[in-house]
Amino acid sequence: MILLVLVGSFAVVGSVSSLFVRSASLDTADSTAPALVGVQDVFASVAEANTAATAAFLATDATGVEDRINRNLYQDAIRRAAAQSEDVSATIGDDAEAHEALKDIAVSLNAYSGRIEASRVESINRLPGADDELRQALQLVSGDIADSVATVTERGQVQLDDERTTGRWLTWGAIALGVITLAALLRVQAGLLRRTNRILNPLLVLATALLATVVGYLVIGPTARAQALDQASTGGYDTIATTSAIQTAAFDLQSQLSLKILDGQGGGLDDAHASVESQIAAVSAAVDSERERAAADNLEIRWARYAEVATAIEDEVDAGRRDEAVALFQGEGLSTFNGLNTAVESVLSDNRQQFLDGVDRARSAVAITPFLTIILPVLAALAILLAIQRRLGEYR
Amino acid sequence: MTGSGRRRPGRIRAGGTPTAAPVARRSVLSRRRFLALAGAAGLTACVDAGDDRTIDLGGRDRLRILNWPDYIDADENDLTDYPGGTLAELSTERRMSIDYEPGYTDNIDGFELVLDRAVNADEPAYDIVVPTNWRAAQMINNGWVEPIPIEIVPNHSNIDPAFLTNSWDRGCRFQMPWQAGITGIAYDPAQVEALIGGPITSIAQLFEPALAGRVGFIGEMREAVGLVMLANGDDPSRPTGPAAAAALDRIVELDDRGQIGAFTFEDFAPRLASGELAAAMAWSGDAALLQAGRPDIEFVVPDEGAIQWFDTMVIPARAANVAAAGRFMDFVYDPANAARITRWVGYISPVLGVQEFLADQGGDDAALAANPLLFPDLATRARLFTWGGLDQDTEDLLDEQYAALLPEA
Repeated sequence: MILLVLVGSFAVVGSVSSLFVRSASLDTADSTAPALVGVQDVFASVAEANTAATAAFLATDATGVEDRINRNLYQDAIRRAAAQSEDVSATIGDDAEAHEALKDIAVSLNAYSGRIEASRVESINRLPGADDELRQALQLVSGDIADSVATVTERGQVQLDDERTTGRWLTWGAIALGVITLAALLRVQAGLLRRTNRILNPLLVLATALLATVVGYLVIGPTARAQALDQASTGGYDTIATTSAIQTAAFDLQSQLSLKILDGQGGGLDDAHASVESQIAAVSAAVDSERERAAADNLEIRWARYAEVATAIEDEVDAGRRDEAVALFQGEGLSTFNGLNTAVESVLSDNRQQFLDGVDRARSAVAITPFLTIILPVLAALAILLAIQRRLGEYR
Repeated sequence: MTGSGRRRPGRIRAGGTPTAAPVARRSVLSRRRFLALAGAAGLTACVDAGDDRTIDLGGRDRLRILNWPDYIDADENDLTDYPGGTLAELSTERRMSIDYEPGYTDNIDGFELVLDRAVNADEPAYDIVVPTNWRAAQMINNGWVEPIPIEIVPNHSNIDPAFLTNSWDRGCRFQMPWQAGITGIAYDPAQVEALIGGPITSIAQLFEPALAGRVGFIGEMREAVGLVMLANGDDPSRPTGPAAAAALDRIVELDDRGQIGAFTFEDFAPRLASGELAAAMAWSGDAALLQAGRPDIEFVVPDEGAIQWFDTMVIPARAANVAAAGRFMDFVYDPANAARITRWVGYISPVLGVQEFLADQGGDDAALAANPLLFPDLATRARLFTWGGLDQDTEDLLDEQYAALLPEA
């Protein structure tokens, strides 16, 4: 009877723990991981919109004719940012702080769009205040929007860490209970062996095997899940975070360049250059495949081209040649920046896939555990019951 | 034949303004004339069917490429495997055997040829095909292509950023542009002056009654409709169904009233040269070729703008030799190798460094580097529109309606 209680308890604790783990894995795969990746995309889109809007503004300011290509790029990017923000909101789960930050992003995006439109109209109509509107728009991106994105990212990471540890102690408890149950079962069998001189009771052996399988799965499944999540984290998400930081730093540099052109002055941007370079070095050091190596090399080349042009733009501004600076910004500046940005996106895309694949492997690792932790102990209990009935029959 | 197809040939000699093709290339020009004439009879999509040649260069790998006719450098005998040429150099340097077929004659029939083999066969017939951008976008969206193996294409970093920001393949992860071109207006200044009293600077001038029957419209729907959209004040890089339909209606109306003398592909050139047409929607590379023999012919990017397109290399899904395809792409993205192709085909190279390479060579090459049709400046680029794409059903309908205007095969 004690044995049956132990098996029943093991089934309950084991299935509850595995359901917890499975549920956490599903949350990670369907919610947290896509949201973490998605929020990086939001900022990338906003920053791209910002760069295009600035380029369009500077061109319009210089010629009085609207720069259609950059205007279109801006509209595409801002529309994409809004859609991505909604996607993140739909997938991030019920974290209140994250939702609050996402609301802030939506509000800031509206405010940002308003300022860009105001600066556009004022610029086309040669009205005063266009520069100020653009400056405030740039500050919205590097201030409010960047802060909100950081909050969502932070909440996502906390959620991911929670999900990684969810059910851990319960699983160990289930394993311990399983081991105790197995020990009790073996002890019963040993007693029977002594009393009956029979070699083995096949039904109890079957029950032992079934319970051992469940214990094995409780060890292997969560371990494989943890390994897959670790790999996803180190091989994918960490690089995503670093690459996103590159993107943020590059966009920040581009914004600073814009402000420098607008104001006709400002300090050197050496720190911004150094920041991007150190992060690119970090990405290069973290590559773990030939494809990633190629993407990282491409990133370095594209960065070098952009950095050279950015420095030339700075030199023009410092020398008081605003028109030349605007022309460079419009031409090679924007071209090399787009080259850099799409190279960053390529690295992000590869690592994003690696991260999501890892998360998916983690989910698969524990997919059948709840089923096994319910069905196999029930079968084991039936086998034990049957064995007891037979033993009683023999006794009578 | 479904009609709305494109031939993308063209070659120019160095010298800024293209020079006349040498006598040794007569066979090429003869075939071109033949093609143009056949095009006038509505045969443009199938005239090159017998022109496929298999070039076995020897070596370890075997790469199968399907490209447009006359779209890679060739010698005076029109052989693409001539010593020193792209294919021979590639064969030597990367030790691979190449089957190069210049048999992709349009984006409808040519595409279906590839599509059938890609979808219905376990292994597609080619490792690289070169559809036009809008068709490549459809292939990518449908998952019919392999990713570019960038680990063996270090020169991927030489893609001009102007080609990296397409929404359908940001960063060129699934395609690498081969050549790009402009569809603008080519015209005979003397005839146009006599008919409308001045040069052509806008698309709207093509609709003037004085030019009735003397105007050529390009046979590619997206380019003709795109140009008319520009004339209507619409943006073909962000087309809407109603705007495109309005442009098509206008083309039908122009055709009904006899304004359009011919729907042409590359055959706009002989028709302009012969005086049959006074002005025509034209491809920049072919216009440059025409100018080789008729320097008086003008090619303009109209005030409203012009259409830019590009043909792009893709690797069909399940292609047998993805690695060799990557090696080929890497080779042709080396600026020196890309410059060799540019010298010959006369279209816009998507490879960074080609202009500088040609400029550094001096002489005729330097003049080529200064050719605005090959290397448009920023102001010109700002007036170029790439067809933005509509949903598949709308595009199919427009294709069908436009094809109905073209001469029957």
